[in-house]
Amino acid sequence: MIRIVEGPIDRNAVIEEASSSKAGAIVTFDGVVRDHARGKKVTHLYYEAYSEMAEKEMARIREETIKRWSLEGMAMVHRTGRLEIGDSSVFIAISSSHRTEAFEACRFAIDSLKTSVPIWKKEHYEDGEIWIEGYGA
Amino acid sequence: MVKVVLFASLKDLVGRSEVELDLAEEGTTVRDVFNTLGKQCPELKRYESILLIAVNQEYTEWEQTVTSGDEIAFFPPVSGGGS
Repeated sequence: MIRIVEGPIDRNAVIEEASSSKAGAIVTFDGVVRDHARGKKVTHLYYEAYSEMAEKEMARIREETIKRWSLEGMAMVHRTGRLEIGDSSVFIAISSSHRTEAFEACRFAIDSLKTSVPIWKKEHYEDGEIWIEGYGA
Repeated sequence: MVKVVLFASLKDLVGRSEVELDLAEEGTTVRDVFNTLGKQCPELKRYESILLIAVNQEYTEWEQTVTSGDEIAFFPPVSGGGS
């Protein structure tokens, strides 16, 4: 499952999608909106995606990750639009025979997503807003 | 005719998310398209060195040639995901 969604992410559905009877481990990554950045109080975030391309890139990352770590399952969902503090912006679930592969693969998947999937976030503060662009943001 | 799509700060700069441009001649490259857009919005030029480009939703290079009907995207480095 690869998806860009506009509403809340159903974490359980993502985990369910990645599950397999052959798996002994499921590792998840949940990216959530925090209340501060760059020394300022964040009120909310806004995510914008180039949706058609983002889904293609996510599918490519999924294929690569599954192959490299011989995974049993993998699902990845990113949310767009306005997100409040504590909301999930991205959720990844990975299942594999053993935990080592699942941990490594999950790290690789989120790092790859952050560098190549065309999605941008705008941070809103009490006194303004700014697009965060570039790796490491 | 090609369709140029813009995102994030670039969209704000140009004030539009889509721009349609006529193709001047055979062999037009992504860079030519960007330069044409730059004439309409000179401030775009200072983004040139950091921009990522895609044609028909695939990452590509500045010298790739484009043909009528292509969708060309210019965008800043991405910042999706969580921390």
